[in-house]
Amino acid sequence: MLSIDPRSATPPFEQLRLQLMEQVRGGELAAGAKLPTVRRLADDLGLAPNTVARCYRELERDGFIETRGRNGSFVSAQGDAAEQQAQVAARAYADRVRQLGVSPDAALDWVTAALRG
Amino acid sequence: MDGGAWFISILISIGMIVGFALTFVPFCARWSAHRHAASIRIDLPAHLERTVAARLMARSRGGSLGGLVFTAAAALAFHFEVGVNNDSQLTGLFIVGSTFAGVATGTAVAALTGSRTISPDRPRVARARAVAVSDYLAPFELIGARIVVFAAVGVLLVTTVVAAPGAGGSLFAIAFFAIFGAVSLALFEVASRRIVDLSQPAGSTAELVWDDAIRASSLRDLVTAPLALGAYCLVFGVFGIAESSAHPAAMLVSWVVGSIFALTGLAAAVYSIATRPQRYFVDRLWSDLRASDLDLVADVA
Repeated sequence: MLSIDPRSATPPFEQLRLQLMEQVRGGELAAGAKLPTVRRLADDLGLAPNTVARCYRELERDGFIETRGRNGSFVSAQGDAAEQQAQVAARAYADRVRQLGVSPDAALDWVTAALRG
Repeated sequence: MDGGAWFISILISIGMIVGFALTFVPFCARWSAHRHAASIRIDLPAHLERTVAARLMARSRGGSLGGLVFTAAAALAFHFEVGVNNDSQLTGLFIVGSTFAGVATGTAVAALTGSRTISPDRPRVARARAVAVSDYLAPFELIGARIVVFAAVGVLLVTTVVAAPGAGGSLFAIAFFAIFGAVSLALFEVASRRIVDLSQPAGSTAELVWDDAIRASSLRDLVTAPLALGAYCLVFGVFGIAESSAHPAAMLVSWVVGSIFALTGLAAAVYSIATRPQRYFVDRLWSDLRASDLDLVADVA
């Protein structure tokens, strides 16, 4: 189930993206499950079609969903898309930290603070 | 048209007019909503009672009106013999078949023309998964309707070749039910997809569940027409061939085939009652509501 609160401080686009990500990650949306069309979901949630289309594009870019032409959008077959993306991001961060010559302990502290913040 | 057919036409018309009038009575609307809630075993929250009752009544109104128009049109067509055979003993059944087609047409129009709006500042909920007609109708009904109508068309083709000599009236019965069955199946296929594709603006899970319930109910009304017309063709049409056929072999085959169809139809009806297809959408789309319907109330609260 997706829920959009127009009074929330979080923009609707972000609310939608995070919920879809969590549902894919948590297995509520199983691999291969078909998502509603952009227009249908936009109508259901009272959002602009562009908002939903952008959300789908970002989820596709991050490997959570895939678009199969006119057949629509489906939950991507890879179950651990979020962890894989997080690992890619962690790798990029670690490479950058090394380039900058920052100590690993300091880099870890900053990540921890950022995650808790 | 004989007296029996007139009696059936008038009885159905009165039923449709009374049914139409009752949709304007608030008590009947509420009673209908709660009866529907009991049949699908889902709580009807107090704040949704009025909306659900109004939507169910709009659908019933469409069905009653469609049924009345089709019944009257069929009765007049048979009375004045406008493109139809008037000397069949099955005229009463033709009228009933027309009523089924009318109810389905009226229900489809009502379901497709109703619109729902929701305040833009209210939270909205939606299902994250795409749905299809097969989520609302049990395979038994969805696939069954197609099989029955295709079988009816098959029987029509076979009988026009095998039993055509001396079986004009019976052939008309088979042709009537098979053609109307095929048309109503086409109507169902188009209308059901369009109904399922309609957006579902909902402010809570309970609203979404009830929207699904009304959709499922509308689709079941729609699928009844091809099922009934196809079944009439297979049972009464084939028995009609047996009665009017001049060839003993054709008569025997018609009796055997008609009996098989009748027994299959009876078994299917018993199976349908036992499996409660009106709750199919709950198991398919809302399986987490099985344990306790209180979830709905909690969600609304």
